[in-house]
Amino acid sequence: MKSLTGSITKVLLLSVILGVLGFAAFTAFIAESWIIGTVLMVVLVATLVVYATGKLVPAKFLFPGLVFLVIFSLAPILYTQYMSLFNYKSGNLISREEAIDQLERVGFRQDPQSTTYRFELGELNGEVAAVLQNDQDGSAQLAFLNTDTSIDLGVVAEPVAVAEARGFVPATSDELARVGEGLLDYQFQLGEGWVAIPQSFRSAARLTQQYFYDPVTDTILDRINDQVFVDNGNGNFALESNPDRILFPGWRQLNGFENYSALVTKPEISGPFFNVFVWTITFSFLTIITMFAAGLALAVALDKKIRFRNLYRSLLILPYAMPSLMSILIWAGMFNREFGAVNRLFGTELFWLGDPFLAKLVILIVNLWLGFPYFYLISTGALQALPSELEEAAAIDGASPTQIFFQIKFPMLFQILSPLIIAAFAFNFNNFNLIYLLTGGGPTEVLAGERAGATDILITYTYKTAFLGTEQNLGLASAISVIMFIIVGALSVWSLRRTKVLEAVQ
Amino acid sequence: MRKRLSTFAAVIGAGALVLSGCAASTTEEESAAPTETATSEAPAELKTIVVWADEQRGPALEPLLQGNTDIAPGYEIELVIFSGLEALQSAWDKASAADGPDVLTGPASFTLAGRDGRLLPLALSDAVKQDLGSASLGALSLGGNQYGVPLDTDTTAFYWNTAFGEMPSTFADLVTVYEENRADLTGGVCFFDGVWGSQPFLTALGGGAWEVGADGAPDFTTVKLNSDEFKANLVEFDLTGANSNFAKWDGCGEDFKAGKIPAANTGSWNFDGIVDAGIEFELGAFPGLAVDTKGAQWVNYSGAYVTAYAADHDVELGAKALVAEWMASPEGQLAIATAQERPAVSSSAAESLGDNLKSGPFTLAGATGMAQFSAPLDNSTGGANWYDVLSSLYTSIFVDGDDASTALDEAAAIVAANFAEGAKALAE
Repeated sequence: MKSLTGSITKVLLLSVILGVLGFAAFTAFIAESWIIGTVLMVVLVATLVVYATGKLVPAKFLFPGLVFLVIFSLAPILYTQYMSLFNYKSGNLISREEAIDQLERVGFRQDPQSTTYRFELGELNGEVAAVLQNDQDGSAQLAFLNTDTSIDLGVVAEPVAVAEARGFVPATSDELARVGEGLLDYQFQLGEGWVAIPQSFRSAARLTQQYFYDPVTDTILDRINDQVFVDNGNGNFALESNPDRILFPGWRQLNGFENYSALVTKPEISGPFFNVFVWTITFSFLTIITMFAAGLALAVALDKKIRFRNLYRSLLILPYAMPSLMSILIWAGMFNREFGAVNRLFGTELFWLGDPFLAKLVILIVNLWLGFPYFYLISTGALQALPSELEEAAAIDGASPTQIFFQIKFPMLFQILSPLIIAAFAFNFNNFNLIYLLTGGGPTEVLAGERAGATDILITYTYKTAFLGTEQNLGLASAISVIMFIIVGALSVWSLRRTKVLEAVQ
Repeated sequence: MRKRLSTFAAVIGAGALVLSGCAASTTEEESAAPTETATSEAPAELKTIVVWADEQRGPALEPLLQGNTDIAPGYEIELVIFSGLEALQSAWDKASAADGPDVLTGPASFTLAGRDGRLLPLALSDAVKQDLGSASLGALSLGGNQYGVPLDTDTTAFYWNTAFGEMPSTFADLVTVYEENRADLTGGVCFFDGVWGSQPFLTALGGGAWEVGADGAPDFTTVKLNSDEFKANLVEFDLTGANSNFAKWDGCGEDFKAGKIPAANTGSWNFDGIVDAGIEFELGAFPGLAVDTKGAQWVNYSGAYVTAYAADHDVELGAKALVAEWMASPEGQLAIATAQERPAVSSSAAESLGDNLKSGPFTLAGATGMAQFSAPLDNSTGGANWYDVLSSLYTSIFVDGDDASTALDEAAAIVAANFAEGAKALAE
């Protein structure tokens, strides 16, 4: 009975999963998301193969983790690396085809008088026609799609009636509904390059197309100013005679390693990047040293049985138990210059979050408060794991408590805790929450020409580069992300090798 | 037994596939129905125009737009209201053809999306352009294209706490009141909305962003931030120096509501909060150097934009009918201004609205203020945009006590580069 229940449960669960995957895949294909649909189909088939047969037992355990690893870790990493090779920023977000289409679409200009018309669609002698009555002077004409020659109806109160007298048949509501959005493609010829394009079912505007794309020469022609815009190789059409004059929108352009070289060669990018990089490393080291030292010191102090030890241990863990989001915001308020508790307590008026040095100090203090419980806990566990015989033997040999700690206990503790310390370093290397919530990456000495904040670390600098401000540079942000990935990845590999974790598995 | 169960599971899985495929096919057939229906001359289904708005404009627009099928015949309007401007901005930044709006409402800064091809240009009639005015239309245009139809103006007025006596007629009078009560005050004037609200303070003393010609046209080549007149007035009124305290721009609103700052500059959106705080106040223009002169407020026009996604969603015509016809028309402008209780942009709508305690000074400020052009103000070619530069500048000269003249020159150099680049984006 047990195995039957289990089997039925397995079958039902499998069916639900396969059904969901199948529906998602079909929905993706209908929406023409071919890549997503294909991935879902592959996952579906693999799920069926792995779980519907009695074979591939190890795969049954590894499969879900592998799927999520590929979809949520590997794919974003590869995509970020791919996007880092593009000029992908504000003004260069869309594809080249979309950009050319947009340039031609936005390349229509109204006449200087901003002439608009009351518009009535219909046909005359089987040919699509429109009655256009000028909103300004009331003059009306009958215009056609395929000929410049329009019929002047004069200045009349009821131009449609006048046109009907000439054989014009207005479109019915149903006929208009059938044309629908296709009305936007109608260009009623007005002569000399001017056309009337419907702006709604009942109005039209007098426009002329300024920009034309020539697919033969791959250029944009400005018909009004007689200018030629060429592809500048950086995602925009630029004026041949003045490369600084570029047309928008541009497109995301593959530009190789330019984003990476900009980090080194362009002063407005390399300067802030280098400063932020140095602070990121400095902050990570300093915060780990302070947290580890504080946590270890407390663990050593509470290693011996003293009165109320359990109470102290509970209190020390409280900062770790509180949500860090709340804690950081409360600390930000406490360090406020005008009404913060810290200045009131000490009777000072220090601009904690407005001075670069003080802001960095605040970052370290708050992170120490947030992080020392973690190191206290792991240090406590590590201390208890140390063999007491070594300490006893050293004491018998005449070693002082200080010598016992620094020359016997500490090296062993460090060896036990080094993987966790390295992991904490990697975590703080990307500690976005702390920086963003506490100081926002600031302060920024704008007048001194700084472009990054004094407390910005690479992750916050990347976030600002990608998403904040009017100049969003996603390509550059992707390049910085790749560099961060390499650094943190190298740290992780080194940590694994150092702790010989994989050797243990083998 | 196990093999049979496994096979059974495989069959179930295949069946699930088939069922999901049938469900998807049914969805496809249903979505294809309107086209077939139109061809066979049955009434076509209404298409939906999705409009995004923030928590201030959304509730006002809701009774006008939600479910409306008359403004754009053949289309039904669906209004999506976000919890705040930041949420709206965030969603717009991430929007794509799959989930983006057809019409977007919001501040003039949204006009910059035209540079990315995410907005469609609008063709407005001459009558509409005359009614709405060149300042508002210019603020919502880019590269010679008109992208937005102005819906309302965000502008500010001078709030004077009458507990400190009569409204000052000159800036010197304001400073005098501050000096006489300095011991009990935490500031002289509070800019509720940060550095943005400090524009009249700058312009009253001869400073500001750019020069404005006699015809009201902006001259982006002339930066006024470090003008000699402004520098001289800062010295004359002793406004700078370490912890000078007169100008407050960072979280001073509560102090004004507590009566610790005699004057404030903010918009109608803080009106009710100030009333609720029990402050007796008068509204007016920010006092200038001489009687009957005043500081020029920023006039931020919010607008309605037709997005490129409207074309992707096959509702471009309806979206343009909503924005370029109804919203731009005097009738639409009046309806929106009445619903929002904000100064109207349309001159004909403004006449019809009348004047009351709330809209009077704000309407005047809107009519005589400086149009806020996003392209130069949000540009950061010089290193930081106008607002960040001002924030750093104020900290430098009003808090840290740095030399004001040097700091002003440094700031002006940064914004000059920004304005030059931004002016290019505005021009054809």
